[in-house]
Amino acid sequence: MTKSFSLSAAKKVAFCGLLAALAIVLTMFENMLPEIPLLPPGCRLGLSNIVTMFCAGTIGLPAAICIAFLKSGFVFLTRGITAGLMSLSGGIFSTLIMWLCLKYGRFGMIGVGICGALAHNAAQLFMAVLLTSPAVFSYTPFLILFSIPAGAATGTVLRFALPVLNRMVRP
Amino acid sequence: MNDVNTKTKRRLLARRDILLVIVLLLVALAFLLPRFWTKQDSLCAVIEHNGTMVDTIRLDELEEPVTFYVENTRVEVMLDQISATVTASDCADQTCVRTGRLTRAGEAAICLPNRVVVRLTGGADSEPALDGITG
Repeated sequence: MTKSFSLSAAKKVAFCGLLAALAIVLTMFENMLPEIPLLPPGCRLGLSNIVTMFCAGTIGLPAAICIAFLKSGFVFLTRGITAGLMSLSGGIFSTLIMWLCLKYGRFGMIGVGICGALAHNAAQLFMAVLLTSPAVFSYTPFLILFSIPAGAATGTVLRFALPVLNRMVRP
Repeated sequence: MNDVNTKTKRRLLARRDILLVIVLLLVALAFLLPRFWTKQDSLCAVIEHNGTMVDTIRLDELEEPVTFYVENTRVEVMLDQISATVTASDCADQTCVRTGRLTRAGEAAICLPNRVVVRLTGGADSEPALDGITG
């Protein structure tokens, strides 16, 4: 029993490393995409939420929070302190909310994705208010509206990636 | 491992999800509707840096377009009688520039790296203050 446990622990560490790398790559990819016209500026899909949502649901909250931390560390190094703080606040809060939704809320994958996107936007909004002024709140309705397609997209992608990811956790 | 995803056989779309979307749409609408009711005359451009107000400019009193430079930054704001536009900034993401023209009270362009906010107030916003003075 002890042997198989230590094996799975090592596997867990390796898998978390892979997930963290995936989150960082998705964040990078997202930054390279041009912004979509007509949408409020600064809006992103939040592709790395796919990874933290999977991790929160399958491996556990601590690992998912660690991945959010690592991802923000990368953003901090490449894009500076402001972007790093925004990424950190959004990443940690959305991970927490998605974990709660997965555990206690009877939402579908799309619903969990939307809750994650909402939490991400809300945390970033408050961080932006702290950094500048309450005028940032004028973005609120647009962020709420954009959370719907963004969250639905992340939830849907995860739903279809889930069988593949689960096969990696336990063959 | 506490497998929440597969243990419950989570569906892609639950009934609650649709309810959530409807609630969100209503909340967003409730935020947006008052903007169409505010009067668009006597617009004021408020420029803030590091959370403090740097300048307030009455747009309808401008006779010709002016370019405003926010002190200690490289943010450039174009102001004319009906709108305010962030025309240039030295930041990497250029979110403020891409925001484009602000024409309605309540709209704002934000440059997070430079900690600059340009926002429009006016219409209903300025009236209570005016009444306070005259009354």
